[in-house]
Amino acid sequence: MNESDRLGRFLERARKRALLEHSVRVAANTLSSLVGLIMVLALWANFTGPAGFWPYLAYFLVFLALTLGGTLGFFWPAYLWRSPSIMARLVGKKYPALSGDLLSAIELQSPAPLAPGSPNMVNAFCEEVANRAVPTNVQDIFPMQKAIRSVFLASGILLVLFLALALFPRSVGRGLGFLFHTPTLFEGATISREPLVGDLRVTYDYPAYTRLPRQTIDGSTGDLHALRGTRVRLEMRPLHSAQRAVLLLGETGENGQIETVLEHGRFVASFDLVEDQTYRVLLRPYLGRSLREDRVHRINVESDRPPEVDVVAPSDRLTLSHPRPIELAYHARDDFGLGEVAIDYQINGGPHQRILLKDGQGSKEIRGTTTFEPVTTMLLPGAKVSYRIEAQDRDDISGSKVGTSRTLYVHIQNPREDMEDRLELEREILDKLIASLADRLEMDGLGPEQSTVLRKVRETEASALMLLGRLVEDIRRAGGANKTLAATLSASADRLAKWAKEENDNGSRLAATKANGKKNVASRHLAELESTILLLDDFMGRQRLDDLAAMGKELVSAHARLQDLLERYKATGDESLRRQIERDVRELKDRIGLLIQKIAEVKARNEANTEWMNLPDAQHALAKASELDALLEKGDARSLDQALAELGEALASMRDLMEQNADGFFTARFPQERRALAELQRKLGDLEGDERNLADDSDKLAREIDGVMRRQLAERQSELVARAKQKLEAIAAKMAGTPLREISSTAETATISVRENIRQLRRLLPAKEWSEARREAERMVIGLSQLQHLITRPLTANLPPSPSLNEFDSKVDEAGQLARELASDLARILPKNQDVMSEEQLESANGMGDRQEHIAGRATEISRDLAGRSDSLPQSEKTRAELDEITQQMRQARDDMRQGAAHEGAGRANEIARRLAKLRQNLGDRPSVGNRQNREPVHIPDAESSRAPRAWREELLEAMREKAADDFRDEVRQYYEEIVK
Amino acid sequence: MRALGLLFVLLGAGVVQARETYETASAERLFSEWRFERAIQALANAIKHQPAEPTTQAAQGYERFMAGDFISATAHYRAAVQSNPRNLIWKEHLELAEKSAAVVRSFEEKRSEHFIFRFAPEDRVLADYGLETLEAALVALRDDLGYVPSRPIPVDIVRSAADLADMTSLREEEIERTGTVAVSKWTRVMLTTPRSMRLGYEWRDSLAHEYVHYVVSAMTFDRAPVWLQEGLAKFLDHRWRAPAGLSLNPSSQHFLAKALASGKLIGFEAMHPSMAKLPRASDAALAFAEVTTAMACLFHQSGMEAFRDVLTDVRGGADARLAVARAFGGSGAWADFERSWKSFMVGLRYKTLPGKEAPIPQYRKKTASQKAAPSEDEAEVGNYEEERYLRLGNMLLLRNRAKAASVEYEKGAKIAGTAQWLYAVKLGRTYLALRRPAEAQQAVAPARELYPELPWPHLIAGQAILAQNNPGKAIPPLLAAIGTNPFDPSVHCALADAYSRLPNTAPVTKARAERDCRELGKN
Repeated sequence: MNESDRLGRFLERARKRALLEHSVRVAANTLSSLVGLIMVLALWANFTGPAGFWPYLAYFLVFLALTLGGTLGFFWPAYLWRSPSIMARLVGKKYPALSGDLLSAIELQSPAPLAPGSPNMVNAFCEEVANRAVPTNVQDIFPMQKAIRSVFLASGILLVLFLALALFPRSVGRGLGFLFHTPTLFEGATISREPLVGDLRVTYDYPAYTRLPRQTIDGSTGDLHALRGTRVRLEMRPLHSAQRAVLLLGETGENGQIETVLEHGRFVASFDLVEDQTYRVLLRPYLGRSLREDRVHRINVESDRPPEVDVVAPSDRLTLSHPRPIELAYHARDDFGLGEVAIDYQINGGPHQRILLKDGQGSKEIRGTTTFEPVTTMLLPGAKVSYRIEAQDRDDISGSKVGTSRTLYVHIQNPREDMEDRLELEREILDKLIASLADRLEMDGLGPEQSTVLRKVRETEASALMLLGRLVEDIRRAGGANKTLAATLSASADRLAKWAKEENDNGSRLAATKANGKKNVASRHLAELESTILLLDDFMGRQRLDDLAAMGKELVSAHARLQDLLERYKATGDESLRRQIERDVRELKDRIGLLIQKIAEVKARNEANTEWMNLPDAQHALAKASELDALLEKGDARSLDQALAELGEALASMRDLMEQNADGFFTARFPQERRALAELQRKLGDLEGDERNLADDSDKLAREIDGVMRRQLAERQSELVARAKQKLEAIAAKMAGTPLREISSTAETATISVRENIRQLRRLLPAKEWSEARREAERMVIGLSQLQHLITRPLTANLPPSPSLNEFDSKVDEAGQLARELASDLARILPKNQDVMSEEQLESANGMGDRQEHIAGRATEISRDLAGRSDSLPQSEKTRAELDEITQQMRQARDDMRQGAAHEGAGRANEIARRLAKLRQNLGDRPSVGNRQNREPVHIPDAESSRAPRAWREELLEAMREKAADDFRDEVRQYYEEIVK
Repeated sequence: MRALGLLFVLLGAGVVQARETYETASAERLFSEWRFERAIQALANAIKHQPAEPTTQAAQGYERFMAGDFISATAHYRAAVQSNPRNLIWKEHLELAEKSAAVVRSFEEKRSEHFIFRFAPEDRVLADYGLETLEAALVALRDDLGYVPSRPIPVDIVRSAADLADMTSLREEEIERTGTVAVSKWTRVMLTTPRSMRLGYEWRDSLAHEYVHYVVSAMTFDRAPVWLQEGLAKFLDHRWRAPAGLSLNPSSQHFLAKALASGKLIGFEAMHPSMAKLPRASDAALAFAEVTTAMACLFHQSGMEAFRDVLTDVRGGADARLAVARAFGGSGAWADFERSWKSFMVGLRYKTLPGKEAPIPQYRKKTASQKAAPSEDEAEVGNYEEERYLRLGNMLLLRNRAKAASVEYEKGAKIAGTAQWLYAVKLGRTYLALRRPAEAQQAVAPARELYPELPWPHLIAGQAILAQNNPGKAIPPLLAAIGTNPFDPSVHCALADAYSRLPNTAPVTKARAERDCRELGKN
């Protein structure tokens, strides 16, 4: 390293130090000046108020300070002090001991020395200067004291600023705000205590859906009050000269502004009312600051209220044994007009579904009644449906609002669950009765110990009787075939209660007479207990076996459905069908699983005698169903048929077996009912057989008459056919062509129907089916009349008819005339039966009428017999009603036959025989687990229907006067507690 | 001359051919005539000279079929039928062999000196008792008739009437209608397990009965008519456990008494070709009673020797009626025998059971579990009035109210009378539960007497006697119960208990009872 480098380095260090000290000092001073200036300006701004130039001025000052400070404090000295000679001078100035020598040494080392000399001497000089300079500390040469002082000063001024901000926020702070914030129109305007505009006129254009007329208010205060979505036109006359007027929205104009336009010297603003708001008017004069009103104007936006809906139903929570329509009455109203009114419902909490009831089309009020019935395929037993009436308004501004009624509920009973509950109750009663019977049978003598037992027995019996009462009520409520049983059980319960009362009155008599073994209260009591137990046991067995048989039947039906689906799937390859099959198979498996469980329960509980417990092995069927499921998964369509057939066999065999069990049980345990049923079936079978014979005879006679008629017609038929065909073709020509677009769809349907009549007649006439042809022609006459009516309706409705419609109308008219002629011809062609019938045939027809009369008499007799047999034959009422209807039909058939209308008579007789057969078969059907499906809607009860029968009410009032028996006190209390719950 | 030589050669060949065909044909015939030694010899010749001939295959198949080797029989018959598809008999035998093979596929096997006992695994309990019965019967008949079988006799215990139909030429409907439980045919014995009957049946006697058929067939070259077969079999089927003599159970007595009273006896011709072909089970029971008394009449007059004579005569081709009449003695005319027999029957003074029909063996419903044992609850009760007390008693018993149940059963029994055995059984059980064994024994005593073919009266009696600490006397009724329904573990347990209390019991016997008690108790 030579001397030159050493000096260079020294000077570089000195330069850096000098630059630091200078920068800090200048920056601090600049900041002090800037802050001071800003403070002064803030006070000034506070004094003068907001103005648009303040931010410009403030930012300019900041910019100036930054520029000057940076330039003078750093960039300029940095540039200047690059030169070693300048730096040497500066150092020399600051450190006089080196002042001259240092500069000389720098200059001597330069490439072109100022004065020539000996290099050695120069070097020696430089070395000597370097030796002096290098050890010198640059911090001594450029101390930081001044810079630090400046920093302190700047900090002090900043502190003053912050203190001022803290202490005088309203003056200094506000001033500072003005300095750095461009004022809004609101802020920048001069406040006017006086109104700036006058003669205000407000015009409201309400939303279209409200159907409200336009409204204009002159001399308005400027406050606006209207429905959301209303279009407002605000006109105002400025009270000051102004080039422009603006409505400033919000308390401080923060919600924006609405520009006005100048029309005929008035400022006009148009806008939609969307939400509650305030506004002020601001006028901008040609010169000077804007003016704004001090007072605000209010904008009140009214909301459209949602509709209100009321609903009346049979009950808020309805429990139905099976899906039935429910009668509903509803009332919906809205302030501006209703849209759609619909039933909204959910099944088992699933997705919402809707049934449209009415489109209000803007009506403010709708009342109506309807029957509600959800999609029944979804309503499996146990389903819970919640539903309500929904009404929408027509608010297309805020969006349609929905008003809903209270939610109502329907629970579809699960007959199996109900049956299980009932069986549970029956088991409980049975256990109690058996315990009571056992106690009574095991009782010896009448010691004190026996008295205790007897008391316990009475308690158990009382409790069983109470449960029995509940069971009887349940059975009665459920209705159906078991009502007979309910009556029997009720009678048993009454007798048991009677014996119990007698025994209670004189307990000692029991033991005394029992010991003597005489036929007395005790033995009758025991016999009644035994009968009740057996009756209940029979009932339980029957329910259980009938349930199993019903399940078997359901499984077979499900299999048939599967078969059908599979056929359709094979034909179409529809993927959705495959998925349906998969679902059905799974469901079938579940059902078989349920059956297995039930069978196991029946076996475990020993609910039916071994003789009828010959229950199938459902596991085999389940295995077959699983096999089918696996094949479906594999997509092995070829093996599906075989697997399905095997499953079908397994299910059918199960069903047969379970039906055998149920039938066997019914025959053995309910012999009286079985006999009555068999007897009735036999009688109906006899009726059916006789009716079929009669139908055959009548049919035979009809064919004979037809033969005679045909012979008579043979001679003139060609002429008749030709004439009829001619007329028919004329009608066909008039009805040809595509249906007019103007006619309604109903008229179009009528046209198509007439064409179908023509087509049939074209077939029937050559076939010489005269009776049918005549009927068809009569149908065509009616069809054409209807069509004409439908066409003339638009013609008379003040609508200008098109020429084509007029033409079509006249064609239909002509066709109608022709059709009447054709029908009349055909009626003439066909002589009446009586005209062609021989004496013998007439006699035969009369004889058939008499036979029919006789059969009807027998049917009436059977019906009369059934009148008082509801005890022994639960189906008697229904059978009787059906039989009465059939008897009516028989009388019609009788009249037909006597009038020689053999065809009609035969037809009716066949129909009667079919109905009798169905009735007979239905008698053999085992009652399903649930009730027979009544499709009658559930009606809204009127005032009368909630009134109990007079006798019952009197009985109840009478009973209320009596105190509860001591034995029942707890039960009565529990009963009411349950009701309260 | 050359032509003459050729003719001789051809004739010679024809003779050889004819002889060989004759060998195989006679083998089949000899087998069907139960001449086993000669038949086997003839078959061996046929196999040696014409092993591939369909007739040889069929003869081999028949031999295997009779030996109970159904798989081999099927293979031989199939080969024969393939060569000659028109032979319907072979086809029929092939079908039988195939079906039989299917029936015995899962069977287990146990052998004794003379019998091969095959049975389903769930019927294992039958094996020891069955073989014991058969060997005992063999010894008794060896003494009585002098016959000992020359080859092992296959005995198959099948599961159901359908299986029995598959293994025989009987139809299932016939089997069920007449309550047929066993068949002895093709030198084999096929027996339905007592498990398949609603109330069980006397299966040990039935085994012995079928063995008697075997013996009679063997001794007569299968020439004995049905009435003689059944008469001897029924008369001798209890010989494995009792001395010779007439032993008709009260049910048979009832049928016979009824028929004698009404004069509606079944003719011997009507019994042909099988008792199972009779229209009703009651007819079959009556027919059995008739032929048994016929043999009893013969035995009463001439002893066991008469049977030997009859069988020898029949084997020699004599008419069975004449043979019987001859053996009976007197004029030797059938009419005389018939008269004597009828007098004999009248002299027995059998009585009808008051107001009741005797129980007929009934198969269980097809859907019933194959592994369930016979149960008294499967019995049909009489009228509704009787049944109500039975049901009430059952309900009470199910709820552990034995004393109350006994009251209801007593009421029912009073109405039903002694002819209804179910009340006796129920009462017996209830008394046992109430620890009143003497009353239990007394309750079932009439039922034991009237219905020895039912297991429960014997069982209850055995248990009651055991409860009175008399193990020696308890064993016979318990064994009688096993002879009808061996699937009830309580019989074996009671038997084990009885044996354990008797010091001289053979360890094997005791161990067997204990094993059966344990094994059946697991089910």
